[in-house]
Amino acid sequence: MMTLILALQVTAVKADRIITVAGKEIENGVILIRDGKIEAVGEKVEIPEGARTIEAAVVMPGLVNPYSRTGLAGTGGSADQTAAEFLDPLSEGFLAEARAGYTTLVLYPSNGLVSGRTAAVKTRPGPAEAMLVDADGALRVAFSPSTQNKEALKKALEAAKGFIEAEKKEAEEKKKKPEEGKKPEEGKKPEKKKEPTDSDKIFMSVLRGERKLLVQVNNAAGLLHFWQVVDEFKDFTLKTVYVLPPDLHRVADRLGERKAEAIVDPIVTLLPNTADRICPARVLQEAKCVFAVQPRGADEVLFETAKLVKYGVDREAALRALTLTPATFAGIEKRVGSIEKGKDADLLFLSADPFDAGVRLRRVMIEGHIVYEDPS
Amino acid sequence: MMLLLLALLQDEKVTALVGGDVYTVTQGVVRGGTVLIRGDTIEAVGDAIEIPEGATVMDVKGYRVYPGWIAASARGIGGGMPGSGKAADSLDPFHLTMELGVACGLTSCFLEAGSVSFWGGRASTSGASAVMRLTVGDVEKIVWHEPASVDLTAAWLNATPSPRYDLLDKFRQAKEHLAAKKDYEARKAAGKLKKDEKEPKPPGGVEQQLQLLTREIDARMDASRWADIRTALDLVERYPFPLTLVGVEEGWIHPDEISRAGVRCIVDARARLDEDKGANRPSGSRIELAAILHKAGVKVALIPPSANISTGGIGGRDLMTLPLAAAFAIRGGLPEQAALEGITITAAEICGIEDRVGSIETGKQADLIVLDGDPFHYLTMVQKTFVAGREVYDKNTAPYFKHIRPREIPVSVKKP
Repeated sequence: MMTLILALQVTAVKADRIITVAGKEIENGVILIRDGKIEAVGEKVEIPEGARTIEAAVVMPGLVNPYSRTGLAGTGGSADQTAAEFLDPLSEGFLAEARAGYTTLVLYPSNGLVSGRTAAVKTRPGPAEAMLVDADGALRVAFSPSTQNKEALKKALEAAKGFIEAEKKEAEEKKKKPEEGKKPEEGKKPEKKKEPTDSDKIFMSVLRGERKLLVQVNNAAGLLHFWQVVDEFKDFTLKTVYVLPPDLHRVADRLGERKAEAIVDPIVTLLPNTADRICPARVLQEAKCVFAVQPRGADEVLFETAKLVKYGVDREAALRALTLTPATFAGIEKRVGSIEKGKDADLLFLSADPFDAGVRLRRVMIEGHIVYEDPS
Repeated sequence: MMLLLLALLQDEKVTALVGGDVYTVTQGVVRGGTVLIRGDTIEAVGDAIEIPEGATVMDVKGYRVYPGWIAASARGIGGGMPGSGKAADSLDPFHLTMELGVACGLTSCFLEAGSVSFWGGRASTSGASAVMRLTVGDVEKIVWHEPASVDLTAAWLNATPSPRYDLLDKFRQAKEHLAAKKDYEARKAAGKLKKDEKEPKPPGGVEQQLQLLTREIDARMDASRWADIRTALDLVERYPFPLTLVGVEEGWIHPDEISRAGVRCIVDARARLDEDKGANRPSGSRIELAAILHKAGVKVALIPPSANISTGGIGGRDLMTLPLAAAFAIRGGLPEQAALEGITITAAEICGIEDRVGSIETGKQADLIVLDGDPFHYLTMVQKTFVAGREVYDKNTAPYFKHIRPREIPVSVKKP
């Protein structure tokens, strides 16, 4: 009874600045939260009587980690598996992620060339069903170039292609002769139709463009070999999100031609054999690619991303790379990634601008609940 | 207008290397000549070549133009031969060895399996192989063909008697099958087939031997001592197939026997093999080896002591200085032209790509290098490298050697 009342309670966040990511920043604004959802956001939002009020300097949407294995107790290894199967809701890792500002994680199964589908979860510990945002996400492929991997991937896509074409043919035949189609010829047994397996169905959804491929490669050469395989399926609408290594600059023009969506480390590194600095995120920006960032150590993600801005990445793109872009990659942008009416109330309360060197994360809110409070 | 459209449709980059001394390898030297490249092909070579409008003109006066170097034996380039599967599916076109390779003029090589240590190592045959191009940044044409050859070292030279007899038996079966097939086809052509006579089926398990005897594929053997060389020649004399010997340190003892067998050799002029003091015959290595073999009419390709591209160890012993491997053979008496052939056209022939690369000829693939001097001089540097018509190396922009005696090659666009 008590929890019910609390949940129904209205919360108003009064902030000096609201970074919505979806549009313009709002000065001296209010975010109204009901049932864990954002009911209203703006400068002139009336605060209903009895509403709980939280004051903050700067508020931004909770961060979305586009490529994480936090809280997974198993590995996967085939297309019909999903990371949701291995979710350990009791893992302490979720709180650590929340403390770093992550409110949503896109979890990927590992192991093997085709390791399974991603699952998106909130970092607020609870029953698995409550944490899951999406249990049936992109199909993750860890591609290193070899004859074995190329043939395996090609075989899986070709099988799916075969089933899609058979389906089309069947549908056309049914259209042509609705009665004859049902009757098998006399004396002839009807051919037993080969049914697609669960894995085949996953690959069919990939070829139809209903599901993205999430492809991790170890170096630029891996991408070239990967494209050799998938370019044979150009008749289909393959959508791919790439998890890219720092040497992506070698294929920047080719990524640009493909208008690639990519996940990179927010790092500034050295060009091989030189003292020239290179920022992979900026290379992607210049190639007109959409990018999300995924840091290796999650603790200083805002600081790491601020460094990208210092090295020429557009500030707005950097903010999106932490929030809305990874949400869009995972197809969960209707629920998370920005401060907009109707979306989940996943908010970060900051002491200053997120890219300020001295910024402190004061509070983290997930679906209206405060999950972390700065003890200092 | 139509012409302009046609030119646009062709969409092939035209580059002219103008004013350099062009060392064609197969057709002499053109002093102050022009090499015209269209797309991936050499369109024209000579001293009175008209340069089409819009072509990129590189003024290489005072430089020399050579076909790209070819290593008849190499390891680790592009990440090396994979443990299993095909090289075409796993080579890394951005690998440091690719960039350093073209920076030193290497454009194609015979890639042997096996790992490369920091210190490099002697070239030796080792199973799976591929002939590769150093197409930096591109995987589409990175492999010419694979497998590149059959390695018979383990199956014949290093084998105990029993598997040796097995191999001989396979060759015998393959030879008999080919004879039976020939006989069948002759009688078929003459209409003298027996009733219901079927074409003879090839026996099982001898596919490799059939390929060798029909010259579809080459074989290699790694032989140093004369006894091994002689054993290798025994097999090829009994069952003629294209064979290349690697090492051949004691080949100078009876070069005529190698020549008669039609066997090609891959030689490291700096190889050291101690005299066999217990043997009552000449033995050991000699720097004159390449010269002696060449004089006897043997085709000789030249390789350095380390078959890889190494940034460690002693400089001048690996594929970064392939022309120095040829220079040491010259020191042992090999004519300069033969030494040049040993790292170009003869190496190409051993790799089975001599009709496409290895010399500067009209219609061949534009694998070219621009040098600032004699390739056999230790000071000479590669200024530019082209693989399949594409500039893959420019000394002034790549980080590796740009600080060493920088020189500019003026580049312009041909105006009407």
